[in-house]
Amino acid sequence: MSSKIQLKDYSKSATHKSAKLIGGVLMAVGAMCVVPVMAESASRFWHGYLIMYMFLLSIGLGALFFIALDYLVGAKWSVPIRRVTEILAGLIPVAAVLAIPILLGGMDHLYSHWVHAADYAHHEVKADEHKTPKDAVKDAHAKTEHKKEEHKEDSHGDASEHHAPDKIIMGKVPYLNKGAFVFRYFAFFAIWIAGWMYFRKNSLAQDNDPDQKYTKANTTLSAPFIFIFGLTLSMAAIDWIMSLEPHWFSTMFGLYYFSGCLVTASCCIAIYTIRLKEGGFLHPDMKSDTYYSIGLMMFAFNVFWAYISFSQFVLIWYANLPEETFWYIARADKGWMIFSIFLMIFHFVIPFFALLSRTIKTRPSRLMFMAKWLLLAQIFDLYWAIMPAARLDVNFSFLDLGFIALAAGIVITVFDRGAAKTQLVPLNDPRLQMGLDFRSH
Amino acid sequence: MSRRLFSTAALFNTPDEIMHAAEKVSEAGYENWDVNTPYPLHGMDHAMHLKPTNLPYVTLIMGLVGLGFAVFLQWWTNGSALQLGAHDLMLPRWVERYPFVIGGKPLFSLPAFVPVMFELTVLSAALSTIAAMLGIFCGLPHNSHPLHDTDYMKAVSCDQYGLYIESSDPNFDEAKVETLFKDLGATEVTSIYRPFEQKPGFISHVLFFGFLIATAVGVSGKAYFVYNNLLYARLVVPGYGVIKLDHIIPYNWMVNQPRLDAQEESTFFKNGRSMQNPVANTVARGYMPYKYAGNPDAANKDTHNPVPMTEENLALGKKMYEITCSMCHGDFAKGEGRLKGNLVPPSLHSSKAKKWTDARMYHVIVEGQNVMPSYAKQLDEKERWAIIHYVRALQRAMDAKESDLK
Repeated sequence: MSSKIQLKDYSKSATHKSAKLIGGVLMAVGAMCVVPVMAESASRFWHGYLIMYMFLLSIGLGALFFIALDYLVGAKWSVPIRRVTEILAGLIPVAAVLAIPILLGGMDHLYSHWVHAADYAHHEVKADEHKTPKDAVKDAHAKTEHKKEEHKEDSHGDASEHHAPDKIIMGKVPYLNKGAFVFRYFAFFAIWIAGWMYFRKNSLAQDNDPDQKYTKANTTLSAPFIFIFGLTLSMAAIDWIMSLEPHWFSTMFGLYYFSGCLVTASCCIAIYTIRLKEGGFLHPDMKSDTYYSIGLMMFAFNVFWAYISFSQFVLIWYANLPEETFWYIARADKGWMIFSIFLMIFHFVIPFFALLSRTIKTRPSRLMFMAKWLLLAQIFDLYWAIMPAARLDVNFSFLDLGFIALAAGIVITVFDRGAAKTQLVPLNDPRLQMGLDFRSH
Repeated sequence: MSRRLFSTAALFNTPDEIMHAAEKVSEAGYENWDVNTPYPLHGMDHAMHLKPTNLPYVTLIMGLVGLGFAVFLQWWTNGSALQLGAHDLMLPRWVERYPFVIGGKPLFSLPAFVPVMFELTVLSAALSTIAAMLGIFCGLPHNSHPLHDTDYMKAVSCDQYGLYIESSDPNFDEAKVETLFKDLGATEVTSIYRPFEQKPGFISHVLFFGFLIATAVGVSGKAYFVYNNLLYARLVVPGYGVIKLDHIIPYNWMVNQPRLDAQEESTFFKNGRSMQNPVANTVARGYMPYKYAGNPDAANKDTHNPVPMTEENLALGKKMYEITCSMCHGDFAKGEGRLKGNLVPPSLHSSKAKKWTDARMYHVIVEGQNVMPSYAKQLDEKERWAIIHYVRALQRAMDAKESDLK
């Protein structure tokens, strides 16, 4: 019955053409803005690049999580828009490719604290043995300051000279070394891409063969996958962001990045659901209740993000241990305080009150606005988490916006190419009709 | 038939039928009507053309009130930027402020307040939402309802879907409504009457209940304050003095108790005292009387120290010395204690102290000497002897012999 519905063909539509153009233009503009950053300071370039990479990865991972979660809990409301989520998860392989430049050239700039630590494993350490961990932290700060001065002399910010690592970093060498880092990169991406391909393969196969076994197979995989996903995502967040300042540690950091993933993914799902629905590419019976549900996800996970990031802050603030506080002090000093306060208001306070209202969640244009708002807020959150680690003199430069343009261009292009190749509604899914009938109130 | 009609009700068999019926009834322009189903039907709001409820505004406002209250509460109790206490503002004592510095944080430190702000926001929003929903939007408490105890109610709370239009509706016309229901495919159409015509008596009137509650609260509250005042009441008689009234009021918060206080008169014992000496030739459990009580010279002749000089006991002595003795006598027993002032205790390295036996020193700990009070309550016997061992060790350390240099 439902298979008789005629869907508009995305690959032949005007939306496809314009998306192709916009994506291409944004990527070109972004790349043009980014090149001068490289010339100005390599360190700034690589931190900006890492922000862009982590942002794109967060969309892909969040979307992958939503796919697995919806299968696991048997969600009905999200079935009509599942293809949107599946296409967005296609950003994971793109992120895997984007990570390669970091592995090849950026690690010396980003992870200079520990990337060469393993070379010192046999000498140097003995001399430091009398030092307590507290001294080591002090040394580390002194070194950071020293490094900054170095940057002044060498405007290219080339971290070519490596200091002997202190005792704390030496203790972390078994985990934080180049070999293990690259190994984890391959392992994590292999797991995520394999999971994504398996879900997608079964989902697409159902379009031609209306059999429930594909849904069942995906549901079976989703339970163990979500467990492994949580583990790998936490470790990836520690690897790529937390190890920028390896003296610092926070046991909630993985969760912090995860909450951001959920925000970005639900915002992207909102944007593309609205865009495709308004263009007439989704099921005509889909009602505004679906928008409402996505809006709820955005609201809920944005509050979750605020809860997690505030908990992380307040625990460290209360305990007031110098081993932990310096991360936040770096974000309160030297002009970063205004960024921190702005982040709170921009990412939590305003969206919280805006998304409280049901009207905003059901009207496509307003929901689209809030989704874009939150995406910007989330990339700003990553900026706030990553950029201060570079210890640069200038906190913000307008050329950094080039990375946002680049990220937007990549998202648009990847989604557009994915959408052109896929049937945008899983017409044979056994839960599709229930999803279309779903009413949120 | 003298019973008044309350409503006309119809029963339907499937959710789709009731959804359709609700839509039609709503479109026909009826206002006072409702739908009863055994479980919530998604989409019913839409079918009934219900306006969104105002309940979320109650939640929002009360949430903000809770938030504001949390900020105010914590700002007030944690002391002040204004440096004003309850006393300065002529407020009662139970709203006193406590400007304690905790963990070195400022008195007004927002990060620490956020959890409480969050909790009170949620608490206030949730409780007032429920209260407003039940009390205002659902119109509870309700003594009874005409729909109760009808076959209609039995059906819709079991396996059927019902819809009724009240006779108070401006468009209500019994015959028309019945045809409408029949056309919509109702399996059964019934008229529901009010159970009795009797007007509710004044006992079930809201005002009467309010009066009762107000009286109860007022009387008990007044009684509380009156009793409290009586408890501390004093009758001042000019030329005579002050008479305490606490023993004549009936309810005195246990100020007067049957137990005997120290130095009080007793009618139980022959000698009329509440305090009695122990029975002759007995010792209380765990309290061995000190044998040289009031006899320091005898103690100076006793050279015995019952606690052996072991590393463990020396450590105990050091610990207890530092806790109990060092603030006056100093960490090295030179009299260089941390209590700087008029009090200058003698050095324990004096030749007099060195010549004393352990039992003589023990005597000072137990009975005190000059300004020094007895420490028998703070230190048990083993600890006293251990401290003496430690003091001997200190004396020895300050008085190295030539042989030690080798």
